[in-house]
Amino acid sequence: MIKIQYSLILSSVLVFFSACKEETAPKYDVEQEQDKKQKQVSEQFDFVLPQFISLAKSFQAAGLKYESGKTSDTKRAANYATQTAQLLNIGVYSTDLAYCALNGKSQDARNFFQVIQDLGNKSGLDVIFSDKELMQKFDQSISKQEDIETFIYEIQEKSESYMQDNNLRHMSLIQFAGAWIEGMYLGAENSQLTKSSDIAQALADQMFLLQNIIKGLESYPNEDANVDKITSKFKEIDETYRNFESVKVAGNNPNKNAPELSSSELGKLKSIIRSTRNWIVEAN
Amino acid sequence: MKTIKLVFFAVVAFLMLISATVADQANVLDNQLNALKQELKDLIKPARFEGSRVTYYKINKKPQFKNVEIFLLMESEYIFAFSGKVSSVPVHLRFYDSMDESERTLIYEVKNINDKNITVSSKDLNAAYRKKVPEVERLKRVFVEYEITKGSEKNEGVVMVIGNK
Repeated sequence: MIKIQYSLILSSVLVFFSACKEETAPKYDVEQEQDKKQKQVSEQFDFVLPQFISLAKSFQAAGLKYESGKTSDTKRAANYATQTAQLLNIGVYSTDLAYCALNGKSQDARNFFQVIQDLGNKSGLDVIFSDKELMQKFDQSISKQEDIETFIYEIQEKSESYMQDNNLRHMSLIQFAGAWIEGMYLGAENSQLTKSSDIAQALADQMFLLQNIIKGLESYPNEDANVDKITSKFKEIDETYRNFESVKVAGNNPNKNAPELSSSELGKLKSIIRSTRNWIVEAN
Repeated sequence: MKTIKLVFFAVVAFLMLISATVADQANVLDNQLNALKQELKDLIKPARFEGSRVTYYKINKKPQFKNVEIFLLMESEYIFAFSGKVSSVPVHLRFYDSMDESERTLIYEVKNINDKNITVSSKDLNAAYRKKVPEVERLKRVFVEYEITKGSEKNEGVVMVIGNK
């Protein structure tokens, strides 16, 4: 009888430790996500956000030309001390990288890739960015625009796989928030922007991404004052935009009716985008 | 007293064993879905990978609906690949132009994607949409709806991979 008791105690302890093995993850958010994963049921409504290079390509297709001095200064990268600031600015620099790569500014693109790699290593994404051969691969692709694009797509795919496999979607959403605001900033600040331009239309098209970005930021699993702050700034942009007369008239289905923003609405959008983007890049 | 202890430890051991088994099943499902994701990535080539989403569900006694919103920012062709290979019940796929049930237009439908991989092109979606709503230019946003039919309780998932040419 005693032997049975001991073997039961021993097996209980062994099973307990085997079950707890995955719960020793270093961060609360990872544990929480793993718990969610074990439930293995998706929300009723979900979304897939585009790649950041697609944000830049859609502006390029709308006629956005390269203008120097608009991208974020790579020297600021050293100032980003929190994980949130690092992730947001990886997003900002990613759009700048795509913007430069698509416009044949390969040296600038290389500089942006360098800071993305550094920030990636600092912010816990070293699995993606610590590969020393990455820069070598980038240099091999630098002479041909199509090859750089392929390289960027490959990095994005690798990044997405890593984030999804490790339930780190909340981190990719913060990055995307940075990428989105930078794309909107580059579009809104472009000198070719007029109310009848295709760039204005591209801005309106990309505004439809904002609600999902907000949804994503709101589902961030940990308490983080910086995430709360950026969420409220993005909500402010959304609210401003939804109150535009042209947006109310167009309704909520961009497939049927896209809003044609007036000059005054474009000005207001430009101003709120600039202030939010500057808050993000100035190390908040 | 000895009997109480014995029962207590037996119950604890049983609960722990169940917990470990559930976690193992979740890992098996994830591995299957990851393998399918890779199959779909190969299927969309030469289109460039634009994103993916695994939609997890638990089959129950009533049909259920899951939705995924997708943005088509670029005018170039998008390829959507789906795998229902780990679905044990019929899963129907529908593309809509809006989330609002009272206003949405059904663009395209594929019945029973379980046990197979399929692809849908944005060219076909645009053509089908223009037939129903002639004044539209192209789709900029679509809503994919999965209808998971009823069956025995089980955790499963469908995989979607998006590519752009």
